Amino acid sequence: MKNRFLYKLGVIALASSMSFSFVSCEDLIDQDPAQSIDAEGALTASKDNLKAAIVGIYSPLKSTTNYGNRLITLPEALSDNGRATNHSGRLVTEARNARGSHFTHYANSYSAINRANLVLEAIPNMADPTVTEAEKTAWTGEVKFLRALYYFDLVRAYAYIPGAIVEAKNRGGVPIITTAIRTAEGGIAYKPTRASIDQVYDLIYADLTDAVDKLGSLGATSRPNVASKQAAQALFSRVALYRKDWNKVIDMSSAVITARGGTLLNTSNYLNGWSTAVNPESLFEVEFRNTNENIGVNESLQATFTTMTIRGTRVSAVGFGDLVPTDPLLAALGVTPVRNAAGTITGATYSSDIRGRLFEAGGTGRSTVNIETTKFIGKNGTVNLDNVPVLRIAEMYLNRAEAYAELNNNSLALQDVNTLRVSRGLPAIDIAVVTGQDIKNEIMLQRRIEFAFEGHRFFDLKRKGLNIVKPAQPGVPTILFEDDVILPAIPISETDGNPDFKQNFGY
Amino acid sequence: MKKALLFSFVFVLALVGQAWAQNRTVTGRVTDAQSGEGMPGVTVQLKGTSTASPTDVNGSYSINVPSAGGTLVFSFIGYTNQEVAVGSQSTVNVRLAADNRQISEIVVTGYGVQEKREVAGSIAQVSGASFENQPIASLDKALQGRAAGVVVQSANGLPGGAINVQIRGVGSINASTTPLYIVDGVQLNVSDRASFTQSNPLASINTNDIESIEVIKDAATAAVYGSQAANGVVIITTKRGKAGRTKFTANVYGGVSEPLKYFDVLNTQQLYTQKIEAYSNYGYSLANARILARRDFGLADAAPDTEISALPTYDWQREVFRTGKVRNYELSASGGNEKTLFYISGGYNKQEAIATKADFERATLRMNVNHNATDKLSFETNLNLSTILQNAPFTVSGTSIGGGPFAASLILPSNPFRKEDGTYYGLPGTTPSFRGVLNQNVLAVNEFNEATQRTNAVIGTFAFAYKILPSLNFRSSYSLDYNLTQGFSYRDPRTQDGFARRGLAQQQSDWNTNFQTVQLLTYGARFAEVHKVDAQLGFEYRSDQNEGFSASADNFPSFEFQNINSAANPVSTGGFQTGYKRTAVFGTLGYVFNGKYSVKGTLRYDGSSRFGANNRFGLFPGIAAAWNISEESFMESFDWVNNLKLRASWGRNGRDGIGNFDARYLYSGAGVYGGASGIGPSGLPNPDLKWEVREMIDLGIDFAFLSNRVSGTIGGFFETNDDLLFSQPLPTTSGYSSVRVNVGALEQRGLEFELNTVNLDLNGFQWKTNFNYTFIHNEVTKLYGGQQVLPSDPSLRVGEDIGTIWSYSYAGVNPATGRPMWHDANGNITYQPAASTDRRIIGSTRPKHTGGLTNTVSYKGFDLDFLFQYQYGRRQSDGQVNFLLENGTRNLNAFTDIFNRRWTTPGQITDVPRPYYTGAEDQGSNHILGSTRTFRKTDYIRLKTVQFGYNFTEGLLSKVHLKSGRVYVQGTNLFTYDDHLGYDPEYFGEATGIVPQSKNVTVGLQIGF
Repeated sequence: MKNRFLYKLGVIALASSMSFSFVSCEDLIDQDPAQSIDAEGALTASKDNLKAAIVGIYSPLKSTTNYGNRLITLPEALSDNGRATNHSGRLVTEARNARGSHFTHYANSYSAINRANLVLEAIPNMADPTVTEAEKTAWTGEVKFLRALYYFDLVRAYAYIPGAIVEAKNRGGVPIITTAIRTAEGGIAYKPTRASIDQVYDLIYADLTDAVDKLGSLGATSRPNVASKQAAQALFSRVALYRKDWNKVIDMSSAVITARGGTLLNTSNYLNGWSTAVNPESLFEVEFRNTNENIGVNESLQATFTTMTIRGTRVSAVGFGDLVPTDPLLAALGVTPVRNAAGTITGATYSSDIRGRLFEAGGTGRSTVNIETTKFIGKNGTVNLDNVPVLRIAEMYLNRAEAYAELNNNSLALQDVNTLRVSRGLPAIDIAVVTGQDIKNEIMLQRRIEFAFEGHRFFDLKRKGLNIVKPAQPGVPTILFEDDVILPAIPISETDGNPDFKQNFGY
Repeated sequence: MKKALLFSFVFVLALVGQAWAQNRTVTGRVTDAQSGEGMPGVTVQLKGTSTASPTDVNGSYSINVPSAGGTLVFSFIGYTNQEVAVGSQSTVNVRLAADNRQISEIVVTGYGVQEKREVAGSIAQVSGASFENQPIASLDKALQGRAAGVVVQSANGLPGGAINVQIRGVGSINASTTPLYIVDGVQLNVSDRASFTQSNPLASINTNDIESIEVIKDAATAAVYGSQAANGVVIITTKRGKAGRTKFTANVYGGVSEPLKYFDVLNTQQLYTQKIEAYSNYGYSLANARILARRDFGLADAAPDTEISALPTYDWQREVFRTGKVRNYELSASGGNEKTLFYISGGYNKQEAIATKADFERATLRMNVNHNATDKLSFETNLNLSTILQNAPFTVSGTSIGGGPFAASLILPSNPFRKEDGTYYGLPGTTPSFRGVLNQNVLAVNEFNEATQRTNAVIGTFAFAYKILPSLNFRSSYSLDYNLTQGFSYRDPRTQDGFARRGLAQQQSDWNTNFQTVQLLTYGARFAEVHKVDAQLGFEYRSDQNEGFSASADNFPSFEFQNINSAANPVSTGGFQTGYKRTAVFGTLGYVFNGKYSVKGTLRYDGSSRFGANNRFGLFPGIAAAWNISEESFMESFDWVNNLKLRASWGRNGRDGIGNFDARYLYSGAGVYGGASGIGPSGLPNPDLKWEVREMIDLGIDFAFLSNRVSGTIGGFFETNDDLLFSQPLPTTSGYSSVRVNVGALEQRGLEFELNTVNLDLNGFQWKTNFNYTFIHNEVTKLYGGQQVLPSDPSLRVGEDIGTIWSYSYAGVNPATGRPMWHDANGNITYQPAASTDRRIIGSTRPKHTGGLTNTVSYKGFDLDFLFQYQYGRRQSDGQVNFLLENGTRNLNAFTDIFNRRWTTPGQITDVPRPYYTGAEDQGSNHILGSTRTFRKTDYIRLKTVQFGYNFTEGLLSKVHLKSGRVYVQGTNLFTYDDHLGYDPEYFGEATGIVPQSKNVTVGLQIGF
């Protein structure tokens, strides 16, 4: 009996050890990931995967290095629009233009460009039989728009802008990579070098030409959270403006104004437009839709710009309000702070310019009350959750006005300026009383007011080669255009061990 | 029935037959020499025959002997054999003495044990008794200061929190350097799976259940664990039953934990002075500086000076920190007979950290059972069940404004705790509001916010062994290491984090299933008396699978609703699944000649799912040899030498502590946009990715002199680590930041010294000392592509220590201006050192010299035991200290000493710059810039534990019917000799906002019956 038992045990033991030897060792340690798929053929095999890969090109736009924070906050902090309050300690060095405190979207943008390249390489090879040619065309247009946007944000930040170049310090544009790297050896062997500024703008032109050609119209096939023909034209208009290619600016702006000119807000609906999730003027905005996309209390645009969660409700101090308007900006906006006997700001008075209304006395919960902007106030229904307008119809009027003015077509220039002025509650300017230079100055002023705290000012000064007059604050001198800190350092990971990659001057 | 009858008949016949062959009976009783109790299960054998008889429950026996007498051999495991010539006696009573030597001379070396004198590797033993009843949550902490070559650092003072253990330094740059932990043969997965606090899976084992811990330090012994052995192996053996009377042990202790220290920070008026200086130094007129300083305290611009001098100062540190309680209750029973041995224990342990809400509450149950079914077949099961409930602090570390330990020393001291009506001051949405950068009432944050974590764990083994031949044994074991971690967190709408979103609840579950099986053949035989051969052949398989789920939701009706169910708005859901598998065949072969020369070879062939398709298997050999000089005949005349052994070994181990799918080319989730989920490539593939390889030569001398009163070990090792699993940086232009490749090398050389002495042994007075010291030299010898310095991290340099700090040299304060200065590359003074040229090596974050000193003094039942632990040669930046050094940069409090020593007048010589709003003077660097000023020495000597105890005398015990009794008082971290500014010099990491370690005092009672 006992032996039977022992015998059975022996069989079990043998069987269990045998069962491992029946499978090969390789099979024993097979382990596949549950939440990833093999990259080889992932995109070409399935339309859904390809569409998801396109979504993966949009999502880096939301990063705090890009439109989630720094592409909006830094152009204000580095210029003459923003003053750091030192509430959390953020943006203090940026507002002082300290060396090394600059744009940081290099790696994130190239990661997105790599995703774009992978999709562009997959589209012609789609094996999924349900894919139509029309879909392929639309995808190509969409991806090229995104790639152009990433390259443009790179080249305008990390390199000089055409026509405003300090030749002695010019080290070129940014590297161009249009083919995806797929192996470890390929990655290790890859030694990027900088293309010339013109080569990068040429690539952006080519991508945008393709995008304008292949994309459907905004409204008809898409919402402003994704690429559209008008978004591509609007971006093209801005790229051409930076390149001082005036006729292209006029072409592209006019095309957008023809299609979307009616969306320009006026004094009766301007504030409402800045209270809804999607700004009606938007041609392209980076969407933060769901609460799990919330950047949160430290670095969201709302928390950075204001202490408040509801316009006019000043008791709480939820946000930091790290960056607030400088006095000259407030003066340009027609906003005058009201102080009590103790010197503390208690409110503000406004001119007829409706845009000033988005600048109001902030929360009392931080040490000093400031006038803060409430352009980002949780418009998606949750605190710190706001879509970020990148391209608005108002810009098309000012881009075109500038192009006309540069071509000395003062009457058409002033016509566009006045369209904007009147819609914002300012009187039209009589052409009889202004010179061509006055019009150019007015266009710059209107850009400063219209796009205050939307990420334009630093680039508008930079593309014109202007010094940055830091508003009177102790310890911050005027930053000359020839200063090294106009350009950020290229990340050290690119230049180290790669002597052919020229670092920006002075770093 | 018929069969049974027949069987009985044969049995009776056999007995009768035996009775015919013998002619006399001897009886007697075997007792324990120490306790005097009868010992059941002792084998009494007539020497030279197969005649034997066991003792009964009372220790009595009866055996037939030839009329001429003969010799009886009394044997019992763990006791010295005794031989008694019977002669003409008819009663033979024997007292057996426990053989301490025999127990301590066995060393666990992997899948088996080895006699210590045959061991040729380097293995540190720490007995469970040495850390018994210490209020430590996890066993890794017990190793601190007790074993040469082992460095233990706590990340913080959370009971059951993260501990960093390094065995013989740091051998890798990017792969994990956590040792392999094995409990009774089960390889544990020790990764921290907590979301809201820290969880240390080793905390699931009650340290009082541990018999001994063996730390395998050399590569040859560790080679039997092949791919997982390169960081050293920690083998934990839990207590077993001993045959005999069932022993019960009850154990209770309780005590308190208190902060090691409080910081001396400024009062409100000092802070006001500091602010005016900071603003005016920044460039504001004195009048404006006064206004700004008043605003910082919430005063009107024109507030009179009397209002400032009337402002109160509140001591937030003493509100946030508390006296924590420590409690422990345990009961164990152990015993058995010659067929079955058991050990059962249950324990309850609760420890409160010195800051709310951080605590640790654990219940454990252990059951170890061994059973011999037949002479050949035996079964074994070891089972450890545990449940741990932790209240989590608001944050574990970091700069969260609501984090109590972070904010306590930095809050503006004019902020009161409560309003006059008794409610908390400064809650969001109420007035007046809280002042300062740290604008949350951390007392309210602490009280209102909830976070808990439950960890349920099973560590269990089932095994059976079959003796195929007397010399050949087969063992088959199956084990499970299962861990379920569930967390809950609630951000209360009355506090800042939950205010705007009306409450946020997060829930998380994470479960890890780690299954293993080992099939093992063991052979052991002795030939011609002098040739001893041991061999093992084994197969192992391990599958470690991890899954998790999480969800969060906000917008609750009120703070009284905390369950996700009540939330209006789901915020996020998440889930994951990952895992790895390993398999191996291994063999060992050992040979010992006449107890003098021993040699042991090991070979393991190991496969892991983590590596590239081309390189998933690796071969790990090891060889070790020892020469017992003291056994040689020429040593006979040196009778003061009890033991002298030379040993040497070489081995190769692997390291695979990287991501589960680092070698693969995959598309994974890449963010969400516009309500859709995106995908993107997760990295570049490397099908050639393989093991990181460590090779080590270990040399040592073990000695024991003067009747073993002086013993110890001197050892040294040379280690090379090659084919490092390195995250090689790529130009990010490529779209990737790094790729995992096998490049680079790192070397270590070390010296270890261990000395045990019996200093005094007179009339029952005994004083023993144990001292250990370790020095390790660490050097990066190769990086990728011939680089001498890692571009993305210049602190990684060929020829330098892996912990190298590449930073600036602080040059003090310019006496003329009060501005902080640093040295540039040429040794000149600069206000703004440049990252590219002016950094230098200013030290290492890795301690170079470590060790401990234990003293034990005992006399007539009293004993005193104390352990000093020390660490030398490390620098570290303490984030909490850096904030307190700011002194006017922001609206925060600061060290009083720093404020008092600040520069104020031209010509003043000091190391503390003038207060300066925003920190960095014009064209200057912030004075808190990482430098020799912030990377401070953390050298210390600490009275880690001290215990004073009394064991009751036998006379007293017998009156109350107890077998043993002990009372003791014990202290932890009672004294530290250091020069550190922070709460604690022992921390690992940045120390910002952590709950610091505490000092503890406990009183305990332990009884046996």
